[in-house]
Amino acid sequence: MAIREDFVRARSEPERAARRAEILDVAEKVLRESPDDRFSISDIASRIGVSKSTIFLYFRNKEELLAAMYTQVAAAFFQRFRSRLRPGMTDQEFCEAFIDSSEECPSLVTMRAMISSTISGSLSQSYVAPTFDAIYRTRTDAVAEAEEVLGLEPGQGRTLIKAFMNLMCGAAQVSVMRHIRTEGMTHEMVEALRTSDACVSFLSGAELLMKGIRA
Amino acid sequence: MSMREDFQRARSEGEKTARREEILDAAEALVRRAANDKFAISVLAERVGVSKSTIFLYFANKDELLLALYERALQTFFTRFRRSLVRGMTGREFCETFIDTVLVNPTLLILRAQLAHTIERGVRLDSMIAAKQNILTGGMACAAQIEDVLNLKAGNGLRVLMALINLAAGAAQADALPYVDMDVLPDDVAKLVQTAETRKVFLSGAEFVITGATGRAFG
Repeated sequence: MAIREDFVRARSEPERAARRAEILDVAEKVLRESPDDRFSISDIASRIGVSKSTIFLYFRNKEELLAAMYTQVAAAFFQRFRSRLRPGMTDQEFCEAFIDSSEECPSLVTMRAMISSTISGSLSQSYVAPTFDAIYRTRTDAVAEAEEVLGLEPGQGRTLIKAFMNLMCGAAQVSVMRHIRTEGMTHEMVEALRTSDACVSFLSGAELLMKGIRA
Repeated sequence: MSMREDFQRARSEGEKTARREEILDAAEALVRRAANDKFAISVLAERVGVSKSTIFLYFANKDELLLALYERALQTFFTRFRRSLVRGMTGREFCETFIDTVLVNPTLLILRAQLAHTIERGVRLDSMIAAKQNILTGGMACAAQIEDVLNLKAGNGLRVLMALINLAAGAAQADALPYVDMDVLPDDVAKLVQTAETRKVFLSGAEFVITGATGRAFG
């Protein structure tokens, strides 16, 4: 493995930020390609062409890296979601905007599950606070915009987005369409599996939620 | 470790079922105690007092066993929930009963979180489809009763059921996020805080799902 000389020792804050960003991008790629959503710091290091200890110059440990990855993917998700919001869009379009944005950021659902199962126990408060502050801020902006385009009362947007996120992550837990090959299966089997497809099941619940918020 | 002579070789279907259930009971206790990473057939075998190969007489591998355990937990949930449904109950009473029945049975959400991501990747396709079909049958019966007690139009029972389970699972997942330093709290208090938060977040979303399905005030 060739060691990249240019990567070692960032000399300024912008350089440091650029290297952190590069590590995060590579980490997300490694996560996405991993068949079981597991990855190690050495996978990331060898992909970039640096040593593990170089990665630890930018992130104190794997948990801090995970927290930063989650913050980044949540920000990307909310940004995509907001870019799809239009004044006067229908409730259905709104629901589709949410699920389409999540399909473009598949690591969001994966990371949310990982954060809760793997790292919540080992994260110390010092990284938690900035991570969740950052996510909270991106979400607050999205909530305000959602309330505006849908003409909701203040407070309803927050409940709605929270419920959408829970609905989507809950649906993803039982969705198998992404992992299996359906050719060779009978039509009935495929239909049985499709009822639990994340997108179908999200939209079905989201429609009831929207109706309820309008009632 | 002493081997239990009585466990080996079930002679009838009835015996076989009883042994499967006993293995699942022991597995459930382990799942609740440890994360799945630490769940090992060897530990389970030791708890039951049999050899690993005896466990494999009943379940082809660890994931097949966990899938069976998930299916059992979900069917138990359906049964308990259906038993507590009362015609004419308000939407709020319905949702509170729902989340309380989910939270009393932590195995369900623990295993659901590992389902598509781990367990189903380690089972045979026909096992997975059989489990989905059994779950759908149990779910449909529950959905029919939901339509009856909430007076919903046909089809909305299953939609409500699926939406509420997804909401509950998503809320429980977010709850494990470390907004509070649980380490400084005693275990039982930390558990209480977490449960209370899941319940609250669930109910805030469930209210709209139910209002959307019934068209009536939440209660």
